[in-house]
Amino acid sequence: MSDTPQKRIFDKLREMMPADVSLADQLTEWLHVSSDSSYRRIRGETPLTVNELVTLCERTAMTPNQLLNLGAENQVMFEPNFAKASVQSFKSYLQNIVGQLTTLHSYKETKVIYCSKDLPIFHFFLHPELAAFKYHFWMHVVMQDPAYQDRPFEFQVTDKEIIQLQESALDLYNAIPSIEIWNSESANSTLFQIDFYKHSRHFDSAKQLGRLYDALDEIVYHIEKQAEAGTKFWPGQNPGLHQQNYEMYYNQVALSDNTMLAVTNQMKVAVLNYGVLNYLTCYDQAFCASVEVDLNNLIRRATKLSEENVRKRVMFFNAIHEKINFYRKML
Amino acid sequence: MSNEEMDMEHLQQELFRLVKERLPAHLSLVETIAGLLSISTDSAYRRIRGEKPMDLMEAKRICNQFNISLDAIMGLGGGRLIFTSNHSNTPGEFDYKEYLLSATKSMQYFHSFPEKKLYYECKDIPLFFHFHSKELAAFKYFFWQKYLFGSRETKKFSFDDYPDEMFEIGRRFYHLYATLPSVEFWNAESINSTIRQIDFYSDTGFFKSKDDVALVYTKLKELLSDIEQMSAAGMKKVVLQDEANVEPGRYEMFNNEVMLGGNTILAVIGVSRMVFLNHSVFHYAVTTDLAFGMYIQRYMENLARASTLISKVSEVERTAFFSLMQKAVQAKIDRL
Repeated sequence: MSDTPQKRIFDKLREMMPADVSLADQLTEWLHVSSDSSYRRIRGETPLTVNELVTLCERTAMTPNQLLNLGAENQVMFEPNFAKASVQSFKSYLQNIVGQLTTLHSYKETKVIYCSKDLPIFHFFLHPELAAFKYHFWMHVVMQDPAYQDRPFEFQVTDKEIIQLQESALDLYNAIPSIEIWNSESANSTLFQIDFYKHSRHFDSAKQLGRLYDALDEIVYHIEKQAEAGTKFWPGQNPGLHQQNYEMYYNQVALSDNTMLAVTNQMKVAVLNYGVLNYLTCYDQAFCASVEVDLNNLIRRATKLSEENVRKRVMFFNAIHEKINFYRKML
Repeated sequence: MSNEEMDMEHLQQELFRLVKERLPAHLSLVETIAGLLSISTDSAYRRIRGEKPMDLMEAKRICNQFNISLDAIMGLGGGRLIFTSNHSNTPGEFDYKEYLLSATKSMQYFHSFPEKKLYYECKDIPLFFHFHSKELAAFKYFFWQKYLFGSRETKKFSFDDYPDEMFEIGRRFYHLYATLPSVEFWNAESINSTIRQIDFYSDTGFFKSKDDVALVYTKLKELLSDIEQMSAAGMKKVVLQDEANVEPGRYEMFNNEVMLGGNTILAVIGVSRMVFLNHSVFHYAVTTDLAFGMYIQRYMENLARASTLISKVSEVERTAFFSLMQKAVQAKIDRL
C-alpha cells in the first residue's frame, strides 16, 4: 500500500494503540465489520467511508485534521476562549483561565513568559476598585453587553463568583514562575480607558476619577515591589515568605502584543491575544518552539528590572507614575 | 440513498461551497478542481455535484490548497480554529524575502475580488509604509535582521547594504496596498516604536554618522506628511505608475484612544474573511475561518464607534494628531 491518507490514518492509530492490541480487532469492534473487512481497509483495498472516519475520530478523540495530518504545512490548530456579551459568558471565560492555570500549575516545572502590551491581566485583580473598572469597561465597551450600556460604574464588582474567580486566577498566577516583558507603554491602555470614561461622563465626580488613578498607582507600586523582591505576592503579604518566581524585563524597542508562552517539563503552550480580552491557545509544539525562540530573543535584548538594576527599575516605574500623575492633574 | 452517501454528499457540497467562497472571482471552480486533482472537467463536475464521492487524498489536497479545516466541515473540531503560521520549522531562522513575497501574494489575492477592504488595528506604523522611502526601508530591514532575528552581525548600518531587489519587492507590496481600500485605527503612539528603534541604534553607535540618523528621521517626517495628505483626501497615493491597476484605494483613518492596537489585520474579500493575527512582535498567524473573521469585523466596527474619524472630516483633530507625531520626530532631529 503506497503512502495514502488512509495508510497514514492506520499508521497513526497503530502508534496510539497499546502493543498488545491488534489494530484489525479494534477496527472490527469500532466499525462493526468483519475481521476480513477490517484487513481490507488496513491494506487500502476498501476505502474508508466518511462515517467510518467520524467513528474513528470519536473513538480516538482525534479530529479529522489530526488523523489525516492536515495542516502539516505550517497549519496550526488554536482553541479559542471568547468572552461574549453576558455576565455568564464572562464567568466561563474566567473559569477557562483558572482551568488552564490550574493545569499549568500541576506540572512539575512550569514557567510562563508574558510579552505584555498592557498590564498583564492578572495584576488588575490586585486592586478591587481597578478590577471593578476593568470589568465595567470590558462589559460596556469591548463586549457591548446591553445590560451594561446604561449601568452606572460602581467601585466594586457585586458578583461574588466573579470576584472569587479573579482571586483564584491571581493566586494561581502568583504561584507559577513567570517572566514578564514590559514596554513603557504598558499602563497606557488603562489610562486611555479611564480617560475615555471621563469624557463619556461615566464618573459622577473628579473624586471618583482620582480614586481610579490612585488604584492604578497602587498596583504599579506593588508590581515594583514584586520586581524588587523577585517574587509575586498579594498586597500586605511578606515577600520573604515566597520563593523567587518573578522576573521582569523592559523592552524599549519593539512594542509587545500580549503573547504568552508556558513552558512545562512536558510540553509548551502558546497563547495569543486578540480583541482586548480574547485569546487563542495552541499546543502545536513546533509553533510553540518558534514562539519560544522569538521571546527568548526579546529577553536577551531587554533590560532586566527585577532584583538587580535598581537605577533602571526606579527610572522605569517613575516614568509610569509620572504618566499617571499627568492624567491625574488634568482632573 | 444510504445515510453514508447522504453524509458524503453533504460533506462535498460544504467543501465546495467553501472553496467557491475563497476562489478569486475570475477563476472557474470546475477548472481549478480539475487542475488540482488532475482529473477531467467532467469528473470535477461530478464531484462538485456530489454524484461521485471523493476519496480522502482528494479531500486532503483541496483542504490544504484552500486552508479549509475538515474538522470544521465535519463538525468535529470542537470549536478549534485552523491558522497558517509563518513560523519557521527551524526556530531562529527567518527568510525576510520569503516573508515579503508571501505578503505580496496575499495582497494580490485580495485584489482578485471585486469587493475588498482591509482593516488594520495599528500598534506600529503599518508595514506597507516602511517602503515609502528606500532610507526608511533600509533601516527597518537592518532592525529586523539585527534586533528581532538576533543577527550577530556587528557591522554598522549602511543604506548601501540594503538590497535593491528587496526594495523593489517592498515597493510592489506597498503599491498593492495603495490601490486597496483601507480602514486604519491609529494612535498618536503608533510611531513610538519606530522612533525608539532609530534612537536605540543611534545610542548604541550603529549609525555611521548623525547625518544618517537625521536622514532616517527626515524620511519618517515625509512619510507622516504623506499619510496626513492621504487622510485629508480620504484616498491613498499610488506608488507605481506603470502597474496595471493605478486606481488609488479609499482611505479611512481613525484616532483610536481607547483600546491599544495589536496590529491585527482583517481582509474583507467578497463573502470571505481573512484575519492576520500578530504575535511574538513580528509574526502573523492567518485564518480564513468565517465565524472568527466576522467576530473580528464586529470588533473593528465597534472600535470605529469608540474612535474619532480623522480622514476627510475632523480637520482640527487630524491636524493636531499629525502635529503631535511630527513634533515628536522633530524633537529627535533637534537633539542630534
